[in-house]
Amino acid sequence: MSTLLFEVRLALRDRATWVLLALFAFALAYALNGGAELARHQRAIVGPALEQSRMLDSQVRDALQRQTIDPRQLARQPLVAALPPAPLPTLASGQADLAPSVETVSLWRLQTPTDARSELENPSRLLSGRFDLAFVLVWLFPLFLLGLAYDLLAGDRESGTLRLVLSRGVRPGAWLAVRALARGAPALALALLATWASSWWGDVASSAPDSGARLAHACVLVGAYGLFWLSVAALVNALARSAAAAATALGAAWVAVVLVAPTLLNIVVESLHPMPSRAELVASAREASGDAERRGNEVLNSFYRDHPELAPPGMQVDFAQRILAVQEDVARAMDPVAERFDAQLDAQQRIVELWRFASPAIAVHEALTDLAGTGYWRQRAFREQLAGFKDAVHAFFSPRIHKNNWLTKADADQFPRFVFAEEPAERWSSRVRLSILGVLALAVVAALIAVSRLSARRLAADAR
Amino acid sequence: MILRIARKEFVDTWRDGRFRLGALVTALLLVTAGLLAWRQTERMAQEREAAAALERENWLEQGEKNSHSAGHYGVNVFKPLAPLALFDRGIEPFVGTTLFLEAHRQNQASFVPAQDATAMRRFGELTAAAGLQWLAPLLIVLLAFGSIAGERERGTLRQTLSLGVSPLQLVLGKTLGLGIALSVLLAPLGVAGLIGLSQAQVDPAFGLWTRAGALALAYGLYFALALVGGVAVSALAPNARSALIVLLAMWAAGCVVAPRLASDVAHSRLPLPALAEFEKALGEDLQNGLDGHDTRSKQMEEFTARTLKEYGKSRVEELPFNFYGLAMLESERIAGTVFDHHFGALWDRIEAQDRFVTSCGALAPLLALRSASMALSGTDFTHHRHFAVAAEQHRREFVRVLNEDLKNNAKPGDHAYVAGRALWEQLPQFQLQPLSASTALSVASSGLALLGAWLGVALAALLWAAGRLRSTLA
Amino acid sequence: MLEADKLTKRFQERLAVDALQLRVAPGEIYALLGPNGAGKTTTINMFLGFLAPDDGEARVCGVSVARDPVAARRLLAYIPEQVALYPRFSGIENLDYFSALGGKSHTRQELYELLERAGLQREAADRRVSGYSKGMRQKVGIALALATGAKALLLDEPTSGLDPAASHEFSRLLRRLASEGVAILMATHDLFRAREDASHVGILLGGKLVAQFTQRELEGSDLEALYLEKLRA
Repeated sequence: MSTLLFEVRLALRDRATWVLLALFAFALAYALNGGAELARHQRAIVGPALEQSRMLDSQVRDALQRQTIDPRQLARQPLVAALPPAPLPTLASGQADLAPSVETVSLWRLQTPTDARSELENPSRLLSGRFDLAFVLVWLFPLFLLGLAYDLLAGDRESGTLRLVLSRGVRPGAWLAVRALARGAPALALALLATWASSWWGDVASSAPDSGARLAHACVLVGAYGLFWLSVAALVNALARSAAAAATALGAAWVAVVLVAPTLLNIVVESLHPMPSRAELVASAREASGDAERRGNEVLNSFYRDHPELAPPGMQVDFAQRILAVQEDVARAMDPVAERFDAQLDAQQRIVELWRFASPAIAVHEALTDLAGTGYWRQRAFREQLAGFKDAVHAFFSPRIHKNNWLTKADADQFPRFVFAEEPAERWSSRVRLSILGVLALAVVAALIAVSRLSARRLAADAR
Repeated sequence: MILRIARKEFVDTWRDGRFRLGALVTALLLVTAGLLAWRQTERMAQEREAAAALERENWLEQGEKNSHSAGHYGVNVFKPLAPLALFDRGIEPFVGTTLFLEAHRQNQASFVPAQDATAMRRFGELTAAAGLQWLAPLLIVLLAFGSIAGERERGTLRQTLSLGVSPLQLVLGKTLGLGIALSVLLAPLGVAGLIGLSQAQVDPAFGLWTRAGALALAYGLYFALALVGGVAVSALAPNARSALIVLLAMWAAGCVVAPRLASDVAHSRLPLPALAEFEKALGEDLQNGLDGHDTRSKQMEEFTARTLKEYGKSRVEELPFNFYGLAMLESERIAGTVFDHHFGALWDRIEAQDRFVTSCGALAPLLALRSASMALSGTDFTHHRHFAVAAEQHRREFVRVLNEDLKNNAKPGDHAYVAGRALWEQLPQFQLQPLSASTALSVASSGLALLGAWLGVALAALLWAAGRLRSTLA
Repeated sequence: MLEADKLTKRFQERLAVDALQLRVAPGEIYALLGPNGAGKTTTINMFLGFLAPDDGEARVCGVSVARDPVAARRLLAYIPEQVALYPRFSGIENLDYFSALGGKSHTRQELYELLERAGLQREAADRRVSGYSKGMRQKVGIALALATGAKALLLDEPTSGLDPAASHEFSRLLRRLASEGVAILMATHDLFRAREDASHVGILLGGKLVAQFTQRELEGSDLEALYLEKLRA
């Protein structure tokens, strides 16, 4: 313990340490502000949509208490489906600036999965990415850690202090571990502090019931990631002969893990499961609907042949019924095509899940966006529930329109309304825990190799 | 003397295993990126062509209908890929690829490729441009950090200068030698790229070779300034280790932090409206007119009165043409001015943000290079706007032809009028005339100028460092 | 010929070299003795032009170092304690490069001969210098002095860390250079070698030359005793 304190004091006596820590603290604070701003922006978009959906729902229910309503008229009103704000948006912006969180569902329009218009954003900002907390933690945190700990041993080896220390009978492995922790501790503390602050920073406190658990997972994850990089620094220092060589090797390691590995994984993912063409989807959807419309009456007749229970009394076919039948025909043709997109995206994500430990940066970034609720999983849950909602809307209106049944008080309870159900905590925590264990395992492996390379005899022989 | 030093430096670098490893990795990544991009762009171009052909068929086969209804049926146009997108994809993954053209409305391009990707994509894409923008400077740091500082530590610097070589000759010779080592790595890749490009079929209006030449200039300036700056830092640093740390920190700040920071600052200084706000303002102006006191219905009433007076009739049915066709034409004209105003303002704002980010290139040269590279590759926002504007012009022309047909060919009051394939065929398919190379150059010029200025600063720093070199030896 | 005329260098308030008067004629080997910090290396740095004197002048064969450092350096050769060479180059490549920097180009055959004169065998000359011993490096340094046809040689602790045999061979080479008319100034702690090789010995203390002896004056006396006596004074 006294060694640890001594080492911390030694590190803090260096002006460079203070400069690095100040820069790191500034970057964290800036990122927290940016994250809070994005969270507020999201709230401003989603809030009114949620409100609108609630209002419409209660208006319909109220109206049905007093009168009957023509389903064709009500179906003209688009229904709003909104994804509520993420549980910890300040932690990681993820896809929040790109994925639509408000969609409208209308019976009369042919819908494609990303039919919702995206928010207005400068595409070059999307290209650069945001300066959010996940960026600072995944990209910059290791750089600051390495800046503090790159010459863990190599510097002393060059200056000869190493021989002196080892001549005192210190166990090299333990000494290196204490040293790495001492050098990294201040930056690690700042990173954890910022992770914790992401739950309350900037007046966008999370209301999700499991946000405390998410935050705890995030802190452990960030700690594991920090340990991983300290272990790598220790490993490189156990092998490198000079501080410059250690710095070069650590720089290369950072580039490989944070920059190159993810882009290579992207290549693998996109080559194995290329996305089908949206352009072709659009054109063939139009082709299908054109076909169906041209065959309008024929489509409707065959529809009633298939569904005699839905045929209106006396087979008086009106405009709405015709559109509905055409749409169902188009949907039958297009749904499998649209599902291919989801299937490919799922397949891509499965590869990412499988290979995330190829680079801890990937694992940590995936887990952080997962915890923040701005990543793949929550978006996917939204898409799935949205598809279910569309089916529900259709299932509600279609028989009533075909049969020409006006809506009554009894229908009020069945009138569909979109309420997003968050994923149960066991699901996300099992994914995140696996990431934490993986990163920790990599850290331990690196540390063990470092210690095994560090016999006092070897060090003394090197330190000439 | 300088050449002699350059030759020695080149041979020395080439014998360095670390450089060979770094060069090999960089070359492999660049080649992989190039080949993949080639395959991918080829596939996407084919897909979009096929979709455009299918869409044309949909249009022609839509059957007989009222010509204004055909305007509502509309047509999808697909953004063609810029030929140099395989070098620098720029903002392409983050802008829509499909634009739906219909009567009454100007839409935004939809189907952003990045929405159809996992969040991993946000780590960035491995393109040739990304490799040259991010990894090449890192390789240069590796080359340059020890160039002078390492010799100082080893003592060869004293030795060399004791032989009567001037410090300026030494630093210039070294920079030149390292530059040659770098060119030996990059030049073959560049030549391979050019050969690949010469195989591509490109609209001459795109100005492929002008753009490629300017790209070569931009990247050449960037590498030169990284190299000269690297040697200057190495000459000023007390030892190789400090030189390395300083250069790596500069790289991280300039290449990793700067792009995000600059985009964020640009957004907070020049904010964009939220989509809801934008649509609300647009809707209000469509309803009430741009000046806010003539509502649309009042404008149309006045237009009806004016037309009746002009023809000396009292009822629109008495006019010698279908008045609803004319009214649609007028209504499109009015709406067009509103769309131009709102979309123009929005796009101007985005371009202003981009210009701000480019001007941040005064602090981080990567930003200047990135904007020049995207502009020259035809994958920046200016080129996207060019597509959107051209598509909107196409939309207006296509709606105009349909409404003219309604006006001239439908009998007044005849709601059963239908047009057919003959009319549909009159409407041409959308063809994007590429933005000229000179426009791209003028967009890229500020980035190029900043890179030139940076090279000047780096050279000045190198000269200054050379002047100080002797005093650091004793 | 090396001349120091009232050569003075101050570091802040401290006088590192104080009006030094020194002259090394062609063919002479001048050993500069003195404790650490006495100003030996500072003097050599001023002859090399790496430090500008605050007062006085250093001259190499009559050329003022301050006025024309490049011309002065062309007449010099400098051999530090550890001769600095490029590890990824062979001995002969290093010699080729450095002599070209000194403005002299030689054929490969001439370079081999120069190295051989300096005592480095042909097969060693073709090996990369990362495997060279200290003595071998110094032989390359001597060969460089030969290659550039230096008129004056500056040595900084040349024999420290050499084993006795290498040290003996080195001083043999020095004496041969001197016999060919080169003026040699050598800063050293090696009293034994100074006494053996030097034609003149000077003791530097606090930047001042406190004593000078010729080889003849030292004959039969104990240099170590003289040195310690001067130090105590």
